[in-house]
Amino acid sequence: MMNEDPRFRHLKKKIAAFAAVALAVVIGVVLLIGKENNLFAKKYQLSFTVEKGTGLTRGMPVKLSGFRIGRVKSISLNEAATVDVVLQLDDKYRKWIRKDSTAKLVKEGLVGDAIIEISVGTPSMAILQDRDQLAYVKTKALDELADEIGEKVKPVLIEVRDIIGYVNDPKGDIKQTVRNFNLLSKNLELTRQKADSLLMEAGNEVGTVSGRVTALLDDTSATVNRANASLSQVGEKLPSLLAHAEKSLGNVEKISSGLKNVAETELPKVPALMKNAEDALGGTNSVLDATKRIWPISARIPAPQEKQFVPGDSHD
Amino acid sequence: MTDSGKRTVPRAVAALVLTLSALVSGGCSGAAVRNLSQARLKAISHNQRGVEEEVRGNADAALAQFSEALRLHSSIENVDGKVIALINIARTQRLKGDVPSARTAIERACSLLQEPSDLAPELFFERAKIHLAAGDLVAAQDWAARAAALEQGGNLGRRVNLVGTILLRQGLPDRAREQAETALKLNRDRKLGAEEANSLRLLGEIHLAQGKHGEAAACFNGALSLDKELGLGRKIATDLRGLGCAALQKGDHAGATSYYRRALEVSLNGADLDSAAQVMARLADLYRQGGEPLLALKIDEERIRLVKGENSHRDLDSH
Repeated sequence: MMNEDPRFRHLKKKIAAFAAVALAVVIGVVLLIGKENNLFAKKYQLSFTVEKGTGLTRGMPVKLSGFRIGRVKSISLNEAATVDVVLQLDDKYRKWIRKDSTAKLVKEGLVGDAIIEISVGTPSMAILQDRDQLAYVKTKALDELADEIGEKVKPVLIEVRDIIGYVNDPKGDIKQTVRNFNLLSKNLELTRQKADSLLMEAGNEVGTVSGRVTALLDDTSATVNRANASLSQVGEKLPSLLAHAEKSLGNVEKISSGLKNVAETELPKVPALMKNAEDALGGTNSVLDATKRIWPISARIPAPQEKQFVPGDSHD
Repeated sequence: MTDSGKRTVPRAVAALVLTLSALVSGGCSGAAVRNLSQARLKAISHNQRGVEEEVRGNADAALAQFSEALRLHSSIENVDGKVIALINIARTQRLKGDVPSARTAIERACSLLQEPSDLAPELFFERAKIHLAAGDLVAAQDWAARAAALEQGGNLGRRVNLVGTILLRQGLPDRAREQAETALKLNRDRKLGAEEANSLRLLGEIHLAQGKHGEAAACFNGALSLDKELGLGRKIATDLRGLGCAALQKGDHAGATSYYRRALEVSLNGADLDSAAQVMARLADLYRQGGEPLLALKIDEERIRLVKGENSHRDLDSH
């Protein structure tokens, strides 16, 4: 049968050709992928040592100026209980990595992946060769950063607390100033009264009284100066108070506006609803009236009692 | 046709006749429905609601309803309806204590009355009560007598009771007694318990006025049992006060105190504070006369608190 069917002629040759083409395609694809991933590029190795391997993983990308230039090839614990990290880097980037280049563990963004970042070396320095040691710069972990910030902020907070305590202290300057200001207002009134009475007496005792009046006016002047000082302090605080008040008024305005909107949209519906309810009641009354007139119901409904009086007892 | 067929036809006819006659008689047995106008029906309804409000003790709400009834009756020129509304307004005002307003309303009703009217006895009765409340005994006697003379229905006992009450107030106990005994008979015949109790109470008061404390106590006891049956708190308190007076007249100081204390409890729990205050004053006098000044003082203090509107229910049993 095979000898008779022309389709089976040269079958072995055809299979061999098909397999060869398929193999060529597979090899081509592998080569293409390898080229895309720099699998066939020339590599070299650098290493560094860190105290702790926390955050480091095999295969972790190594970047220079944001470009991927290699990966972490191995992480191993050495005899000194520190961690040796070997980086495998593309040879074509070698020229950028020099004696003063440093490696550090960083995060790409706040929640991004961790990477090893290598800084570009100074052109005057020697290029690092295969298996050379790279300097590692320790980066701070989040908790360490938080502690550091905390340490920095602490004194500021303490200072703020002290300031608030100082402001709130009933015996403090500010409270005293406000009290003094109140007292001053009262004193001013008393002073004015005294001045009035002195002026009344001035007609008789101009000479002696003039000295007292001067002293009194000096007092008044000093008092006014103190009042000015207090007022300037109050004036400093007023803007923030006014800002608060304005904010509160703004909120009240928003609420009023909301209520107004509700009133505008909902209240017009009320008369219509009332009218509907009235119509419905009217209809019910009509039905009831009609029902009451139907015999034999009508016979059982008592006639309306017109002569109904408030109970009037002979002894109330 | 067979014999049985001949019998069946008359039976069917008889059944039909019976059914029809039952239906017709059933239809006629009901009261004839009066075709009243909507305005009049509404006015009647307002009047009815007013009566209900007054019975519940809501005098202002009652007056509002009666005013609306009066307006509606006026809008259709229903004179009888207007008179009824005005009588009710006058009575409510009088019971509320506003005698001048009551008098205005009743005089307006009298001016509207078209004699002869079956509303006259009730109108004159109320007018007599208003004059009595105002202290005008002569006018009260006149209108009460007219009300009794015109009464055609079953309220004669009530009218006569009022005549007797006014006569007693006028200082005519013998004539008052005649009226009270007539009223008692009429009310008993009509089985009008509340008015029968009124007659007995009136007789008790007459006996007291004549110094007959035994007869007075018997009458007050009779009134008390009737009022208890009917659950009339204010009248029970009055009966107990009457019994207290009778006991006092007899010289039974402890008995009188006991009756007054019972009257006080009834008045306080019935929210009749005016009566309660009067009884307290009386009790304080009794304690003082009985050589118990501390108790008298305490009850006087309670009375002052009561008059000022404070709660004086507490610790009353300790007296």
